Amino acid sequence: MALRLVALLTALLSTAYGHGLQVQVKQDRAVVIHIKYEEGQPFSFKEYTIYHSQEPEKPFAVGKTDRYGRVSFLPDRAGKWILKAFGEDGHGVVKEINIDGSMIGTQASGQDRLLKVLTGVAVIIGFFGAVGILRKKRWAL
Amino acid sequence: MHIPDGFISPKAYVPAYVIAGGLWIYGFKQLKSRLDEKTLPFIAVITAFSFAVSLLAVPLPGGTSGHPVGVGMLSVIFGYWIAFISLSLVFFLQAVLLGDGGITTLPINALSMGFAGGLTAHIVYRLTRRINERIGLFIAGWFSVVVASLIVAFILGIQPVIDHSPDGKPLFFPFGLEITLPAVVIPHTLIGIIEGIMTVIGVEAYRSLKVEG
Repeated sequence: MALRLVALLTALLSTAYGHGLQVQVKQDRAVVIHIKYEEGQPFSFKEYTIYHSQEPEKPFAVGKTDRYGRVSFLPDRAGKWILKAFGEDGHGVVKEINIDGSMIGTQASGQDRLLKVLTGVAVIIGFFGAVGILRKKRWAL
Repeated sequence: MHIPDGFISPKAYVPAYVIAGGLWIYGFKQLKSRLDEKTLPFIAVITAFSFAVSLLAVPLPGGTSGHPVGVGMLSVIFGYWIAFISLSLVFFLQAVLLGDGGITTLPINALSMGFAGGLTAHIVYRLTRRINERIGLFIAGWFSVVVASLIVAFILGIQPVIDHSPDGKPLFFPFGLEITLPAVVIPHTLIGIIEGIMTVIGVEAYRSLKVEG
């Protein structure tokens, strides 16, 4: 009887040990992506998925952005990674992150936003100007 | 309200491209036939204004933001076909230059905000202008944005149903209609107020300039 009790206790303890988690806290270098709305508000507590471009069906990390709209992850290999972050209202980003051999994220520096807006306005004026030229013959008649 | 690339399944954006493609061809013909030397500069300037105003994000309760589109103004002044073509151009430029919206999602953004929004503004203005001109313009602007937001919410909300992995995990946008409808439409009832005011001011300013011209 006593032997059975000891065996049962041992089995219970081994099961509990099997469910235990080992926690290790250490410093490491992560890639941090900051996401915010245009007016500066952080994209806080929104769902995101990160995957390597060669394995789009296999998420590497899923979670929620933090209070400051940040996502951090530690890539396990170089290459092109994709971050998808979703707001319930359709706001969100799909961002490519290039990780080089030293596991550092790089991105091309973007053109100035104001310059892009002015380019857009110029294209619109040009588009309607071109339509006007196409129609000029009819107006002249 | 611009849906970015990667949020919409090809099962939705490919048919949308087919529908929008047909409407773009017809709409461009309408644009060419309705243009004259006097209206052309106004269309260009108001389209450029619409491009610029779409970049002004208005902070909304809940930490999100939204912006007016200018579709009510364009539709009431020039008709919904010109509004559709003008806003399609705006959305294309916003996607390629600024990364707002997307190329795969362009037809959905154009159909919801440009076509449905423009058509709604046109119909609502026709129905309500007899009551009061200004109220008619305001309501037309408000409805144009709210109806467009309903369509955007619907398209987003059906993504988990139309494209998912064998185990049911959404492959594109993860939230269903029960989340997208309130999340998209409720903020746009507020944005609609700005769009309504902009429609009143824009149309009245155009009419005064047109008369003076």
